Amino acid sequence: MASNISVSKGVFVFKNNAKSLKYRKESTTNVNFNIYSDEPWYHTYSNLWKNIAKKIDALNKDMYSSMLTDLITFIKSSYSNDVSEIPTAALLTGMNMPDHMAQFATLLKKVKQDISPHVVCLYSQDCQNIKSFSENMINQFINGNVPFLEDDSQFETEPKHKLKKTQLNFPMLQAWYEKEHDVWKQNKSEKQLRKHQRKVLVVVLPDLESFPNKILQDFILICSSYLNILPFVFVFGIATSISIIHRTLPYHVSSKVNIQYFNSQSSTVYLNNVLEEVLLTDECPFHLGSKIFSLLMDVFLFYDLSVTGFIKKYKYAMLEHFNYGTAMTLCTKKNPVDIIAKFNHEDCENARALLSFRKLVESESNMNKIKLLTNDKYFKSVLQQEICKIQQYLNTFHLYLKCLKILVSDLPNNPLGKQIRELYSKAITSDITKSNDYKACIQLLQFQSKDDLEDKLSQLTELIKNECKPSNPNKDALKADLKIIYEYLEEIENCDKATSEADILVQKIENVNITNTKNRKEFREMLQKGTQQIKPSSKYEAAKNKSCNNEIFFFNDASIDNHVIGSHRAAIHTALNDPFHYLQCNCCKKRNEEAIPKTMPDICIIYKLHLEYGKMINLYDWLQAFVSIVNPCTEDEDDNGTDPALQARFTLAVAELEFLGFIKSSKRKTDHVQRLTWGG
Amino acid sequence: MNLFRMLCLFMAVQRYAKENDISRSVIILDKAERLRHMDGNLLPGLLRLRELSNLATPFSVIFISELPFQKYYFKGNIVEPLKIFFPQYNMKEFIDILTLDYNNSMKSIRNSYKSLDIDLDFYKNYLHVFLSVFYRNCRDLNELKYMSRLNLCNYCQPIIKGECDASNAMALWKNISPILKSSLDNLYLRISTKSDKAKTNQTVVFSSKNLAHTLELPFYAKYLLIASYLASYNSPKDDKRLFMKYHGRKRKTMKDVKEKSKVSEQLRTNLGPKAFGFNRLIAIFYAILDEKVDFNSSLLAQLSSLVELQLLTASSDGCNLNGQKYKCSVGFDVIQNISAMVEFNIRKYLSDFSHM
Repeated sequence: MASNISVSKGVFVFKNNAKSLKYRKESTTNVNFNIYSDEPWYHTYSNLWKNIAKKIDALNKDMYSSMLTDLITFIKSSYSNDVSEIPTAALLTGMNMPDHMAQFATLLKKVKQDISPHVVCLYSQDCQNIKSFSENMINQFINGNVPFLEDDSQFETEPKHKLKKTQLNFPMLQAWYEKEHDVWKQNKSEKQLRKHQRKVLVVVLPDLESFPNKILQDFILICSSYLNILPFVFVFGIATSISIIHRTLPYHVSSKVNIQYFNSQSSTVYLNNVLEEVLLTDECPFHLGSKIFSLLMDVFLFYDLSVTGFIKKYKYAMLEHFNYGTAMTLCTKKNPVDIIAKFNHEDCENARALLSFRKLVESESNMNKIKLLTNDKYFKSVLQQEICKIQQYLNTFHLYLKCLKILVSDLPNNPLGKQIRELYSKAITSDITKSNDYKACIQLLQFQSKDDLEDKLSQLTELIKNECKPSNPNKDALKADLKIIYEYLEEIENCDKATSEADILVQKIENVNITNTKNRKEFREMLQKGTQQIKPSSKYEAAKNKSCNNEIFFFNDASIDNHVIGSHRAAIHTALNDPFHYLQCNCCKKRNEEAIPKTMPDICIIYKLHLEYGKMINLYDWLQAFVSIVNPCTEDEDDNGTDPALQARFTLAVAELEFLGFIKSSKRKTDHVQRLTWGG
Repeated sequence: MNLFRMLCLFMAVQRYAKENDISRSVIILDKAERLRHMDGNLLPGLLRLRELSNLATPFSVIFISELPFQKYYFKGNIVEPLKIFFPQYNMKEFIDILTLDYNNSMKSIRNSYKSLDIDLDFYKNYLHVFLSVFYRNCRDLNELKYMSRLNLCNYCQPIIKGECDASNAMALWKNISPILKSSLDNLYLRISTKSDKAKTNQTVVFSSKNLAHTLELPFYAKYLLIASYLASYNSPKDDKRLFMKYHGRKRKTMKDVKEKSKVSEQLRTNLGPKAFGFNRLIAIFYAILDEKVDFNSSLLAQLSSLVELQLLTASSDGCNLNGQKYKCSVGFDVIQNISAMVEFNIRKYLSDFSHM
């Protein structure tokens, strides 16, 4: 307690003993700053993360590209004809602004590169009145952005001195633009040509909804009056729908802009892409367990629809996962031999502490048990085998998911879902082949037409053929399966008459399914030709539960939900009501619910007392209660004055509480404060 | 901009005028109605500028305004200016003015179809056809110009395709009239798309159904919006009856009987939204949602993003952590579509409809 008499003096960090929370830093470019830079697991983690981040970046670029090219051509051609209105692009982005930051950043970069160096991006928080709006914009045009320059002659004419804020007005912008423009004019003398080829001024407003209506209207009117001199192009980011433009702009303003709208992809599609292309592939060895995966999906679908948020949370789970220890270095695509060879005794112990190792040990004979637990060398060899096994399994698992997706994604009612993510979450939660949905899917498949089925099968063969790379550990098995599927395809094609077709088809499908089962290393024993009852129970599932060290690849610690979903009210309440939870000092340890020990920080005492009051709190009563707790012995000695030191502490604590927003001084009653939260 | 600065500016103009031997200056102020909201002495000052400035070369001030001068009166004394009224253009004048746009229109059409060659008479014919539909709905020159340019291309379409020649006015009229009528719906909207695909469902874009569909909201945010609508359009008195399972029996009073026979003007849904508190919103939210939902910061963040998106309006200062008041600002159609998307029967929970 001694080190933190007043909370207001500073922020104190106390490590929570309950859970080994270590400092985690994001992988910075300068690794030396990172306290974990020596740890082997950290290297594995940062390599993996860099890989994932790179892929997501590439994916982003791909996804934006089509819309971006449209937009760029629009801006480019906007002044090819004479215009009487400001050309405006309305970008329907969807509601999650943070997700679109990257999109707008790429747009700005692209415009700068391809069209015009004059680009500004204005956010509503900087533009609460027309003055700051135009100042901001002009500042960015003239000073802020270092212009993208093609030749050096232009560079020299650039005004180097910073302009004062009051000087930033439209006539200034006009003068600046004309100056820029004159330099440029020297090359092309023809006036008409110049007029069409002059560089446009692009103004990007990413969050149109949050701009005050009046400001926006004024801004557009002012800009339009300068249209002859300054070629403006607006880009609006719209989160809701296009009708917002007509709601915010009255006709005399909207007649000044000529709007084209561009759709961008919805964030669910975006997430599906990210999952399918990057996170849920066999390229990425780190897997989310069922609980965590469904937690993150729920947060996405129910709460925020934010892909960036999803990726951040995924990264957090990854950190938590790798933080376990050296054993997690095995969570890669690489051959485990080298990594295991580097293991020392402690690392082996680390791996032994994994939960699934216990299962493995229990299944072994007594001799082996001892060997496994004591002999590092033997343990390493077993570990290596198991890791290889699970790597192989993961490979087939992902292939299986893909095949399954092809088969079931377009079935009516989608019993298993349409997306890989749905299949994934089902497959990792329980044995998907045993589920009712799976059976329903098989039944629906039996009713499919011949063409559909053929189509699907050929897609399957394509997929499997692509998988048959020399690097693939299962290529032999795959090739065999491929052959079988080909045979079935042929048979289906050969079967002629409609009468017999149905029967044969049913059989074929069953067989195909069984091949798939086999394909996926599912029970070969169950392969009984011609049985009407399909019981594909999966070896892949069995493999998962049985094989040691699946924790290395699957992260399933649901306790991180406190970290990924913030619950600030509860956190503040716990901090003030039970400081022991964060401070971990013995003096604040609560003995029972009601007691308020005097050793607590003042603000906590005040807070706990204020919980007992109603809507209005009498300051004097409050002070008395406070004094009686902090200094119980002097309680009845002097009536006419409390210790000024105590009074000061009380006042300070009350001010802190007011600062936190729990109370506010009331004008209705003298010497009273009003309680603002929770009951009262 | 205050009067003093304005006068200083005029002095500079004056000096310039003197140097260049200009005997008379005119100040033209467009959108003069804005002067009413500027400094109080600016408008009277400008009206009596000549007296005040007392300068050698006379100043004249011209206001361009859309409002009648009566709207300029305020409690100070104002010198009446000379008023010149410009009447609305009539049909013939419109055609004359729009004919001036001939060259521009030609240029834009030649950009896309090089071979097409149309003369002025053809263009005038087109304007007649065009104005016969649009004149009734719109008298705004800018808008008419914009629309005529948009539709000229459609008008020429049969000629480009070779279905008829430029002199066949009747065939052209048959072709264009449905297009013109449908483009009346887009009057004043000023929205165009490059791609043809988007053009076909352009009319759909503006319907309320579309707002509900393009609005990409997370599941709970949709429910929050529904809850806010319910809170806005139900009286707090009815909450218990609507949202609690065992609310007890309610005695029928004369008032209830009257309520049932409400005419549509008295329905709460037609009266506009009422403000409601944060606590009531959350209570309704939990009442209409069957599952148990974690109350966390993501949920609260949804609420503020709904306000940000102007789907809700916050109507108090926000100093009170729990006492924030909101209003729902989406209409019934939209909310009905949204609730249909989450399979929620909104009518059941609206006191206007629940007795039906």
